[in-house]
Amino acid sequence: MKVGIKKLSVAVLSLGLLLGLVGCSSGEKKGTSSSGNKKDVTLTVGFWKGDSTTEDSARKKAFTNFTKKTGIKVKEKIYNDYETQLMTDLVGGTAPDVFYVDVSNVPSLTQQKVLAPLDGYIKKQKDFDKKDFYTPIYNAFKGTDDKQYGVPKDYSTLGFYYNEDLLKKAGMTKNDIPKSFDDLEAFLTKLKEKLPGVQPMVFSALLARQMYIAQSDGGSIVTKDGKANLDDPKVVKALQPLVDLYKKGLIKTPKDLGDGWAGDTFGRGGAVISDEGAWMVSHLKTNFPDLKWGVTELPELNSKKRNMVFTVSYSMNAATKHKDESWKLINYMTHDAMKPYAKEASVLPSRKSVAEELKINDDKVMSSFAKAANYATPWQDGPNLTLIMQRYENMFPSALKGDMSLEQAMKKATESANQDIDNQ
Amino acid sequence: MKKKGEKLQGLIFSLPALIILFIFTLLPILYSFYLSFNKVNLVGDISYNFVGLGNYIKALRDPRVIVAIQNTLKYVIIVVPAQTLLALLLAYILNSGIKFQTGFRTLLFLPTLTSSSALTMIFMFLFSVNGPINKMLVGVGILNQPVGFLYDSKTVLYAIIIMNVWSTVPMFMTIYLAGLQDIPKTMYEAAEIDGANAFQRLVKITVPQLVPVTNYIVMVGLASTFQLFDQTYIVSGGSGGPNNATLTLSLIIYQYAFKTFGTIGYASAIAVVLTLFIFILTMILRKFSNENVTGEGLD
Repeated sequence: MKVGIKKLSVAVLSLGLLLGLVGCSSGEKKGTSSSGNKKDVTLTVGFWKGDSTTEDSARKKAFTNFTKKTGIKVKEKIYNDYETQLMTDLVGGTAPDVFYVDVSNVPSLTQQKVLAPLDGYIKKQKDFDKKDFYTPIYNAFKGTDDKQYGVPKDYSTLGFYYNEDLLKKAGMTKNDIPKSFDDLEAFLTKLKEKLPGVQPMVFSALLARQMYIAQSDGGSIVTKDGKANLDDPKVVKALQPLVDLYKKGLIKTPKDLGDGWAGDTFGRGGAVISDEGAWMVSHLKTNFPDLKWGVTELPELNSKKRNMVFTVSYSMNAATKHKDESWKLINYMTHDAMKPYAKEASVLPSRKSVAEELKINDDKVMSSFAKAANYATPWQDGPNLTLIMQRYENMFPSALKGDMSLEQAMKKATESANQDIDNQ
Repeated sequence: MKKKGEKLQGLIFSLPALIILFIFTLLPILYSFYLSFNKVNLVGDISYNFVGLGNYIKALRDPRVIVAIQNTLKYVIIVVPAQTLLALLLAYILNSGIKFQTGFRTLLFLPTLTSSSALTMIFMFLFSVNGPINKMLVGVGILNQPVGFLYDSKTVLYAIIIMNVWSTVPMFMTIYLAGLQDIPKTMYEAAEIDGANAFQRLVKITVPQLVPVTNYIVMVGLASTFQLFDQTYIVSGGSGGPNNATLTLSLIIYQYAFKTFGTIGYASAIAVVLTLFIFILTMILRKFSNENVTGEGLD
């Protein structure tokens, strides 16, 4: 009997201890999130890491300076799989106060009403000059209700990276890089003849990189009501030259060449030309410092300059408890911190004044990307673009490999995307 | 009095485990069962609309779900027999008293200790265009030029099959080893006296004696192969491509649950279908397998 009681009390005690521990940890969390004292506020900021280490350290510095200036602490939340993790966080109510929003996600996130409109704060912020931002980039973060749902932190367009040494070896210079897509095949064929064993061009089979090509014949990959339209004959016709180049072995994907992405293929000298964005600049500088390379604007397509523009904003979670502090952070990151950040991370600033201060137009590499910002297509098209992109990237390789015609592949991708869109 | 105290004590000791099981296992199962009959939106404006069997009917008509079922079945049909036979064979060899027996056991068991995502990364390197397998096949002259095994819709599932058999066999081999050591030596001695040769001993004693173990291995194998996810997720980057070649039921559930808004009810319906699949198959297997190995009956 006595022993029984002893055992029982041990059991009760240990259970109590267990519950107590759980209680403690949840109590701690509450303390930081619901306190009204501004000095104690900790903002959680969600972002993906990016391809370069300089970007990472530049962002860290900006956060530290923000804390120094305002006393508001910043807790980093790194997303490895941004879309999935952000969605799970939103469902669970644990999404960060401020997070990166990729321009392609603006329509779907605003449709779900998870972003806070910033117009009120922008009005109150006297020194906020929206005209200082590149208009298409700034406006890409407007919802269908015309409210502003994010402030762009930087942007990028695509360019043709060329390997100087390889071009020289082939007896060419950067001036031989065609100014029009029509001459691309002849150029790449020549490269292939002169440089056996080197891939003339590496490209990524991603919709984000091919949208401007797909729409160059007047077609549109998404219909007005947000459905997939990849099998539009005009889209198929515009993409066909790419498939032809691939079948001739003139362009290959990084995967075909055994690399994770084009940055590695190009960096190790595996390809002469690569169509990548400005995000590759710091990757090449950090990881392949000896490589001699340059960038030109993309060739004209159907006698018109075309490109893609990718941009990311700092946006506010509609459910955050610290709206004022969150705005302070958004404004700081896209105002005070933009210049040092853009400089260190080698990204293009979304403010014209910062671009001028950094003399982007005199920078041989960056100016090619900056020029395209005036005419590029934003990577955004309705709330279902991510889904359409997935289906495209699932089927497009089959067309490249010749398992089916491009028309069939695009038809399959469209059907399966639209079925899911109807299901939603 | 004492009995009552002990009962209470037992209950209190198992309570933490029960609470955790209830919250993290039972509740999600019940919740997803409930979700499968609804059209659900969990982000922003939360809404539940009862649609009855709508999700199930849609799922069975969805060509992508059909492809996923085909891929999963193909995978199961190849992997389960292959891993069971290989495990038995390896266990038999490692139980026969060859040299460095324990050394081999340790070596063979190593893959089981590594996480499957790390193994997948290693295999992706092995099977990559510049990887050793391509170099070897080209060197020997079987291939003219390297093949992107993981990017070709015809080969990618087989590469995953090889990877998975390699990583799961050791676990099952260990279970078989335990089973083999459980078979009384006297049975073999008796058989030898009666004039049975080695093959007869294998077929008439070892295999029947191992039936309960085999049952267990096949059932666990079925359940785990039906849930194939990490390898296909990593290899295809979550898309199930190229050309849906790596789309499995678990992957499609993941896509609908976490990649698109408003389809979590649909994802739950497919998950319930997958559960039913595994359940029915296991039941059929149980029905036809005979665990009465000694001939004396299980009590």
